[in-house]
Amino acid sequence: MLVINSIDDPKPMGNGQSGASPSDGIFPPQTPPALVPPPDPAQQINWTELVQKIQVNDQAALSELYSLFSRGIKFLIVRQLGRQDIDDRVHDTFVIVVQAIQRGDLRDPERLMGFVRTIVRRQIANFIEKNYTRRRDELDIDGPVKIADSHSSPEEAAIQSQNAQIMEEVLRDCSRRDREILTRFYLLEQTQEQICKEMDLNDTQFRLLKSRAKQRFSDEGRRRMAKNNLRTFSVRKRSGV
Amino acid sequence: MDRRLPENIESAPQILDGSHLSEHALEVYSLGKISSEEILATVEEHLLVCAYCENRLDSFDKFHAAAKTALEAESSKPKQRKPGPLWLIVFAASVAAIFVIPPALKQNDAAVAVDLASIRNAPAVTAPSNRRLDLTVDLTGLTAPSYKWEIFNSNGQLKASGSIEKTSNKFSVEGLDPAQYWVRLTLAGSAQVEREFSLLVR
Repeated sequence: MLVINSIDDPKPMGNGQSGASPSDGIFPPQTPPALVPPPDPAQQINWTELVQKIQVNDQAALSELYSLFSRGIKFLIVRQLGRQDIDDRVHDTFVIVVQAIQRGDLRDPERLMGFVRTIVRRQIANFIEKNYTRRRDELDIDGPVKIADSHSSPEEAAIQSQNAQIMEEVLRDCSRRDREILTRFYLLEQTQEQICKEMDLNDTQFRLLKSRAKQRFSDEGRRRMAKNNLRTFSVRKRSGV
Repeated sequence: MDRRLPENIESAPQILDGSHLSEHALEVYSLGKISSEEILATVEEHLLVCAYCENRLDSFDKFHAAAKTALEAESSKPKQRKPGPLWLIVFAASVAAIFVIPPALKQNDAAVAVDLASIRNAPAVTAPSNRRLDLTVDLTGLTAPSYKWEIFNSNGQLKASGSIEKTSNKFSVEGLDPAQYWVRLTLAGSAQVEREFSLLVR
């Protein structure tokens, strides 16, 4: 059984940070490997040199710029606009960045990250504006209006549904009081100050509860994924694939 | 620059933890609660180049979406309890008849405030059925002095309509049946759709 330690009755969290009770037997307490965060990529780059090379259209520098920013540009655009036409949008944005650098619009190479972010934000605003104008123009014409389906893809919907199930499981093992705190924060969007004041909590208790719930959610997600992978592997093995 | 996050979220923790974004910064960003442009720039510039923090943010996003969905589902479920002894039930029923039910009925008549946001991929806004709903619509960026609002069900049938002034972004509708609805804002006297919001009534 999953166990979330109530903040009313804090228990030791085992060897790792998982919060699993050592007595539950299903998930033996594990010591997580020492996770050392990778170095910040931004600190390893000579921005001035990179910008100078891009200005003279150096192909290796263009490739470095692309590999450095394309994933992040994609990430920020997807968060705002969804996945529709994402590759085209990333490409358009990248072309604008390169052209702007080559025109000399970037005065301080050390501000390249800020420069790229500004262009990404401007692009996002342009996409929204274009979409709005297109919809308005379509409405002026008699006939059926095509509106893009903003719902998730079936795969995304399945993942979201599975995540919600995991969370329900996590919530079932929370005390009533812990559930109330999570409901106030995530559902009713009350501030931390208000919750702590009304429920007589301190900042540490509040932070601990949230991080434990998140940890349980991640652990359970990983456990299910491992189980699914194992099932897929054994099915493949049995069918000789 | 003050490199601390807003105090109303937590007691001013740092944005960076070493050379990466702090857990707190990622959580607040994921919840969309960073109002300072400078802090937002710091967070997003780092996310542009750091796959490690991007993955951590992704796990926050998933957790928040799942928490919201699961908590919403839980709060809409009727609570099931084991009945107590007969005398206790009779006593509780008598007390309820005298003191609890009249105020509760009164409370059930109270309007429910519903905020409709026009953010893409925002979670579906849900509202209870057969209650008066005080709807607040996001008119940010709209400039006309007044707008017409219409509520359609998923079959395209008009269920309610009215008009609002730019100065007040609120209007009320009486008891909608459980269904998916679309709240549409158009310019008064024109068919031009300015905003459209999803509203799920349960």
